[in-house]
Parts: sequence; structure tokens; C-alpha cells
Amino acid sequence: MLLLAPLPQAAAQPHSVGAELWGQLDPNVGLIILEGSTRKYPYVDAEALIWGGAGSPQFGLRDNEATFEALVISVKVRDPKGISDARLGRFILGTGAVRAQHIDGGHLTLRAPSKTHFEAFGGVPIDGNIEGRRYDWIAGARVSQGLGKIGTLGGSYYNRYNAGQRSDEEVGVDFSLRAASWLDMAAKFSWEIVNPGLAEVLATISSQTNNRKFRGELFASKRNPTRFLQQTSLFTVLGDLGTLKTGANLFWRAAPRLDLTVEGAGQQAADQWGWTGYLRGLLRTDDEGKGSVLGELRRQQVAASRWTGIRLASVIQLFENIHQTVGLMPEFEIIIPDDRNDVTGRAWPWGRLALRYRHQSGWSFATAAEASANQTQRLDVRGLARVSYQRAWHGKQ
Amino acid sequence: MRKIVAVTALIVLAGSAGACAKMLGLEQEKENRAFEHRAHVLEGINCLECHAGIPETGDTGPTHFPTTADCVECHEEPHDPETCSNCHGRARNRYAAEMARKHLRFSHATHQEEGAGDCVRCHVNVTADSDYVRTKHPTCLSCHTHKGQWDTRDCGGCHVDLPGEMARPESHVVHDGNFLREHGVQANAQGDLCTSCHTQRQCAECHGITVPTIPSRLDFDAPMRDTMHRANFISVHDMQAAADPAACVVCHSELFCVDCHTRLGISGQNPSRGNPHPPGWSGPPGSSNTHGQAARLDPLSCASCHGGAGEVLCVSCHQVGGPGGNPHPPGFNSRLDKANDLPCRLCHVGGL
Repeated sequence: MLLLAPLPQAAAQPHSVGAELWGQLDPNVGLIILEGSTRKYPYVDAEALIWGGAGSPQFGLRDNEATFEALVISVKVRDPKGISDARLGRFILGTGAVRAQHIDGGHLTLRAPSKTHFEAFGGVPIDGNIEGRRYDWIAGARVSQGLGKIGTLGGSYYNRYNAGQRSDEEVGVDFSLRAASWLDMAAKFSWEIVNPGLAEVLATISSQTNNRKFRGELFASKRNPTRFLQQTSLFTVLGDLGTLKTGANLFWRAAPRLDLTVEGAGQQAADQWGWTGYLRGLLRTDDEGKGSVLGELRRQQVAASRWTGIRLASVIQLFENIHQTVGLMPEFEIIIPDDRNDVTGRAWPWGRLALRYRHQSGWSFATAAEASANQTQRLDVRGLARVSYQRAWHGKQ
Repeated sequence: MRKIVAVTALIVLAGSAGACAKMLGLEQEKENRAFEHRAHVLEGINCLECHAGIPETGDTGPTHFPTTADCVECHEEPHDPETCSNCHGRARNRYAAEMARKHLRFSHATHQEEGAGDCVRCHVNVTADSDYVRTKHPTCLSCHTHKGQWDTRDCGGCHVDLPGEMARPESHVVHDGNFLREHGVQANAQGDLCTSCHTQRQCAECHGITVPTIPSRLDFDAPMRDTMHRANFISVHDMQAAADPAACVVCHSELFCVDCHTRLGISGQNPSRGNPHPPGWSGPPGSSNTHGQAARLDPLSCASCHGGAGEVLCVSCHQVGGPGGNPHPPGFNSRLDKANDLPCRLCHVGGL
């Protein structure tokens, strides 16, 4: 009967296409990125993002050979009432205790009126052509219950096999609650079953004033790398090596155009406690925030990671009218390691100056020059350029 | 002389303070003021006297803002010959209404029947001194139909193209604070809600294994964008990995490190580089043997090169009765089958 019932007339259907040419000089890399999405409400959403490139090896680019890859090819079908939907293709899966996974597979969701949701997922994790282990498949499920209008509580399970052998099996609990307009909290907990023990805990509580002038957050995370590794790795036998991090963050809108943020956290790695923190200021140079200046001071002192960083960045609107804008974006960062020596250098500066032209028609042109020095290179100078076009339109009424 | 200096200093100080106040946005530039909706309501003026024709409008059409001609029907002697909307009613609110018309499937005609002509039932702010009278999201959801749509994440029931709308949520989902840290735990608990607006591309730009390059390099003209790996991350990536190795492996396979280092020719596996480990890295019991401590600090770095077939190198010493001793910490337990499963069978030959 449901299928025979008249459905609301579909309004304008959105479609979009985009193309991007991206190039880098020294080392030379060229990329073309194509994307598109379409929707037929309420039945189907589809999107794709593929890219091709050639040049010096980096990430997915292989040894100066032309490479073509798909980042996303996904179709999501749903029933008109929204009771169920299914996504198929290549996409990012992240639900419950499952850490974000790029997979070729499917994800099915069923929603009961009682706000109970059932999810099932499975597929082949993508390995990005990295030589080595091949994952066979991953499969799992999640059940969640809505807590009135204010939150969700879920439980999940997944299993992963590597070359025919069980390599991961985790159960998890996730929780999200907006207890009041000023109080948010969320947490996630996952437990490894193959080598029983805690894999990951993340928790955050944040509170803000109604005018959003102040916002404070308490957070904690504990992750165990030996339980994130495939459990077929010898290094999982090293036991619990978890890194614990806990701290607080405070945001203050000191003036309508000035935001200040300070964060400090204690961090434990391999039984040693250290700390990390930063102070950041962002000044918008106009009411709309089209132009801005950012300054940041950062310090990390955890295990072997001891350094101080200063970062300055700005967006300067050089020209603007109703059809086009021209902007200049200078960015500078310097890292000063505690362990300074002549071999690795005493400071690692990095800077970039970008210029961008945008037209209302969807065209955008950008170019940049970049220079840096780090532990391995005394001077690295690069040129970057990008041409892109984006177009979105609505179909028939 | 002192007086001149003092007065000059005061003038400079006042000027600087004024400039500072303007720069910080404390002193707002002159803008048009809120429309006096409340005053009109108190005068008993029906909404339709100004917004004529609105009850019949469907999903498309004009926004039905009153024109100067509508105003002067009552205000017969306006105090200014200019267009009324130049000063009365904020331009940003008119723009918001135009965007709502463009992005929402909304028919006043349908809602007029439901609301029985009671505009204030939805436009609650009309009764306050505000011209921002657009209906708030919770008000929409208080109606049974929309409440059901919210529960089943059927945002498309009202929003033509929510991902393309690029609107920041006003009240029901907040993206303030360190969203880079918070978004994961929120998305895992209610990813269903996130996908109402966010497309797969937005997730894949950072989490995709097949990305061509990191977002901060691809979008090099967006320096304010907060990403996990800033453009200069390469300078500190080794130290970051040592401080929190698990943070890396949330996204990267342990083989990611050696894959990149080998291709760039900065790996111990590159013939010209030789052994990457310092003197005293490993040796017989009693020697400095720093590799053990390093492995406990960052096991992923070890696994990058010594995973798979490379593990044989480790188990040549670290086996029961071997010079490296038992590698398991006290209380270690595993559900793997010692005789058949990796990595157990590397040492526990025959299940011993």
C-alpha cells in the first residue's frame, strides 16, 4: 500500500559537476580531478570523485607513471519514508566503534519508529596499492537507540580478516548527548577481542554561553597502537602501549572580530608524561570575515617530540565586486626543535604566498610559491597552480 | 610644553582606541535597523496588509516583502523620500529570506491551512523587537510531520539540496570549538545526521586512502582551513608519530610510512642509505640495545619496515629460550591459535 500511495511531488533536483587541474613544479606533479553528484529525491543520491595524475611519486601517484584512481563512487538508495537506506560503492565508512575506513562495499540502515536504528556493513578495505598485506574483508553491525530528542546510544561489532586470517575483532559503545543548549557530550569506546584489551577511548564534554562568546571543552583520549595494528603483526605482542591525552580548550570571542583560543593537554607516551598546547588568535578584517589574520604559538613536549612553533597566516581581499574576487594568502610557519644541531638544522621555516581569482560563473584560478627548509632539505622551493570549475544546477520542477 | 605633549598624546590615544575599536568590530558601521514588527502588531495591523498575497504562494515565487508603495498607504507623509527598505529592515534578513525561498520546499498555502491564518504560530519573533522573523528549526520540528522527517533524517522533505545549501546549522547541531578533534566521536555516534549535509567527498578528502595529496596542499589558497596535516606537517611528522603513534594508525596502515620513504629514497631499504639505526641499536644482552625502548615508544615505525617477512628478524632473538627473551609483557593473553595463527606461529612452532 505504501508503494501505491501518492508521493509528494519532487521539487528541483540538484546536480553538480566539477573539474580541477592541479599542478606542482619541482617536484613536478600534475593532477586532474573530476567530480559529479546528482539526486532524485527521495530515492537516490549518487556521487563520484575520480582523479588522474602523473609526476613524482606522492601518495597514490606511482613512480612517474600515469595513475587513475577513484576516491568516491557511491550510490545511496532510500525508501521514500526514510525507514531504510543503503549505500553501495566506494565510500568512507565510519560508524559506532569503527574507525573511518575507506572501503568498497555496502552499508545498510534500518530505522524503527522507536528511534532504534540497525546498521549492517561489509566490504573490502582499500589498500591504496601499498605493497604488503592484503585485507580480505570487513563486516559488522551497529544498533543504536535515540534518547528522546537529545542523544543517541549505540553498540557495535566488527570483524576483519586479512589474507584469510582473523586480524581484528572489536566491540564498541558510542554515545552522544546534547543535554542542554549549552552542554554537549560524546564518547566512544572500543575493545579488541583477538588480543583482549582496550583499543580506543575518546570522550569530550563542551559547554558554551548562549551568545557563543565563551566555549570550553574537556577532552580525553586513549589509544593503543598495538591494538590498532592488524593482530597478525608481531608487534601486537608488545602489550599495552597506549598513549593517553587529556586536556581542556577555551574559546573566547574577545571582540566581534577577534577570537582567541587556548588549549593545553597532558600526554602520556611510553610511561612518560609530557604536555602540548597552543594559543591562537584570529582577527577578521571585515564583518563578513572575508579577510582575516591568524597568529598561533604552539608548544609540544612529549617523549621525543619537543618543539615550538609559530604560525602566521592571512587572507587579504585585494579586489571584490559582485562577479569576482581576487585574494592574496600569505602563510608562514617556523618550527624550532629543542634538539638543535648542524645536521638537521636549528629551525625549520616554511612559507607560502598564494594568489587567487574567483569568478561567479564557477571558475577559479590560483597560484602559489612555496619555500621551506627542514631536517632533510636545506632549501626546497616549489610552485603550485590550480584551475577549477564548479557548476551546480537544478533539474525539472 | 607639557600640556601640548599631553593633549597630543591623548588625541593619539583616542584615535588609536577608535581605530582599534573599529578593527575589532566593537564599533559597528552604520547599518539599517530592525523593522518594527512589534509596533505594527500592537497597532492591530494584520500581517497580510503588508505581505499581501502570501497565503497563496507555493514552493516558488516572490518573497512578498512590502514595497515603499505599500508603506505609504498608511504612512502618508513619509519623513524621507528614499526607499523605505534602505533604512527599515535589515538587508541581511531579506537576503536570508531569499535564500530560504531558493533552498526550501516551502509552501505558505499549505501551512496557511494548517495554521488557520495564525502567522505568529510559526513567526514567533514578530512579537519581539526584531525583524528576524524566520521560523526557527525547532518550531518546524514541533509539527508532527516534520518531527517524523527529522527522526528518519528526511531533510530532503524541506531542503532542496542540503549539502549544496552550505548553510551552517543555526541551532540543532553546533560546529563550534575544536571540531577537528570532536567531529570523529560525534560522527561515529550519529553519522546519519552528519550525512544529511556532508557528502562523501568531504569525508574522503582526509580519510580516503586513495587521495592524490593532502587537503592543505590541494587547497593551498585556504590557509585558515583547519586540517589534520597542515602544509608544513612534513617537518614534524616523525616527532608527532613518536609522541602519539596510535593517532597515525587510525588512518594510515603501518606500511604507509615505508611505502613513502622507499619511494622517496629515504629509507633503510634504499640500497644507498644503508642501515638507518644508530650504533648500539641492537646487540647481545647487556649492551645498550636501544631498539627495545624505541619499539615500545613507537611500535608502528618498527612495523613499517619489519612487518610481514621482516618479523623473522625479530623472532630470531625474541623467542622463548632465545637471547632476546620473552617479548610478552606480564598478563599478556590472546585468543589466537598459537599453532596456526600469525604472528604466534612464528615462534610457537607446533603450538609450543
